[in-house]
Amino acid sequence: MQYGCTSKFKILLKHCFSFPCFQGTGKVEGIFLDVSKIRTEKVEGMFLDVSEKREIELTSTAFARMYKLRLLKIYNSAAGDKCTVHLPSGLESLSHELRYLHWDGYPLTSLPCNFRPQNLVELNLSSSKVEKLWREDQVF
Amino acid sequence: MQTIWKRLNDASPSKLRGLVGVDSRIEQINKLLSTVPSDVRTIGIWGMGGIGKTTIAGAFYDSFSSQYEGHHFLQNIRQESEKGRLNDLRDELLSKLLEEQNLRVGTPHIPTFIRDRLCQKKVLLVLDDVNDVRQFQHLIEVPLIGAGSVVVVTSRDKQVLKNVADEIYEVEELNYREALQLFSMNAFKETEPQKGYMELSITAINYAKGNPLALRVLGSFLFSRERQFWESQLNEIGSFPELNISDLLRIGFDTLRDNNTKSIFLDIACFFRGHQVDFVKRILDGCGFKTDIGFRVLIDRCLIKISDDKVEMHDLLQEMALDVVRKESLDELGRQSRLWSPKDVYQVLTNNLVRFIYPKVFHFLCNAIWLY
Repeated sequence: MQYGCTSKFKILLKHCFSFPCFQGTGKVEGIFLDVSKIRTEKVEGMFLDVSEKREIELTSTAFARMYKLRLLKIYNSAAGDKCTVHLPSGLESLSHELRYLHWDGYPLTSLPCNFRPQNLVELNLSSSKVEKLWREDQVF
Repeated sequence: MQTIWKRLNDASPSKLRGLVGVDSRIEQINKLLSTVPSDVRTIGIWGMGGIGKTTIAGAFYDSFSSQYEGHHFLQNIRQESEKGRLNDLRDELLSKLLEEQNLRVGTPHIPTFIRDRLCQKKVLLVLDDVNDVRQFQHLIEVPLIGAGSVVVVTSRDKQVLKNVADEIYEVEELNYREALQLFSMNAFKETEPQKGYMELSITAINYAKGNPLALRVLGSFLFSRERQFWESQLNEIGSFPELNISDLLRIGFDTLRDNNTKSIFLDIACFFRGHQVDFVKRILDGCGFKTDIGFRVLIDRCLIKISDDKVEMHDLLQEMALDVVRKESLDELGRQSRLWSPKDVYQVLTNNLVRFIYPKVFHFLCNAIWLY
């Protein structure tokens, strides 16, 4: 493990306890460990135009701590160009608060399994690879 | 004095549309145009933000477009250009001028058959908010349009206009009389101040320095408020060390009474400017905001406007709003409620490192720490 000293352990533990992840069954399946340099709890809206950067690679937990995120749009304003955001290790979670989700060329075949779409009022996943939006047993 | 007021007001055809001082400015533009000898005349309208460049260009267009065989008003060129939509704008322009729907050129150069048709037409063209000579050159090649055509270009950048225009008209601030009238139209819904409010109104218009946008925002936030409110607000404004227009606009925002309306305004400024009203309302309704009342307040306060079913706001107001959001956190991006610049979003997304730890590893870590 790269975290060797006590003080770092303490910090880690603090984070561990503050952000447990409960999946649908109520059983703790794992814990989000936060080592980010930037706090993102306050972000409510995020629009990303990827026309300047052609290829973007995100980790599976890129949106993990944006609990308040209500508006998310990832798009390419340059006409004809595709939106190329890669998620090589999938996507762990999206905010339950999302009202507007627009992601041109969403690269995965489904939305995160623990994503609750109840609050969505607008969903636009044009030219994405999505086959199935959410599991049948998820209550809409 | 009041009779002079009335007579002046009655004489202005722009009065009904809430425009003040526009007619005299159009007249000056016409005078300037008459001094240009060339076949195709290009005139630049230059001035600071909020001074009314677009309004004047729009009024000029409305007054004279019927005298031309083809005409078009291209809005927000700077913004559209930033989005990489210059080609679309040129297609839109050519379609309108040649009265053909969905004309698609696609190539960097305009094909000959279109050139041949264009050069026979006398057109009036307004290019609004140009901030780069290349935008102008991309949209229109002046020798291409027919004799007698007029091109009006508005810009905040005088250097740009020097390069493209035959003459430059500099929009001046509203004079005292015009400023008082515009302010009163917003603060009292009348063309002159109500009884007993003359002095306060004069204080207010002095702060706005003849800037129409500031006068509108200031007037509409004082509308139907009691005298005490006027005094306290104007006192507070007076205490600013170096008052500028954006400070005044900021006060228009700060004095919105509830967070509901503030959030709607910030969401529009950051994300939804130029989008369809119904779409924006549906999403913001979904966010739990009371959009009907929020939109009404924002429109009454001159902070947003609806044109062609789209939500629009003035550049300066948008800049003010973005500044409000930026100031939520000066040091940490993630403490900002809204992120719109690709650089910031990218930084937040790629630095938001969260590792998923499975229980077994977690227990191992706990044991390790316990032993230590």
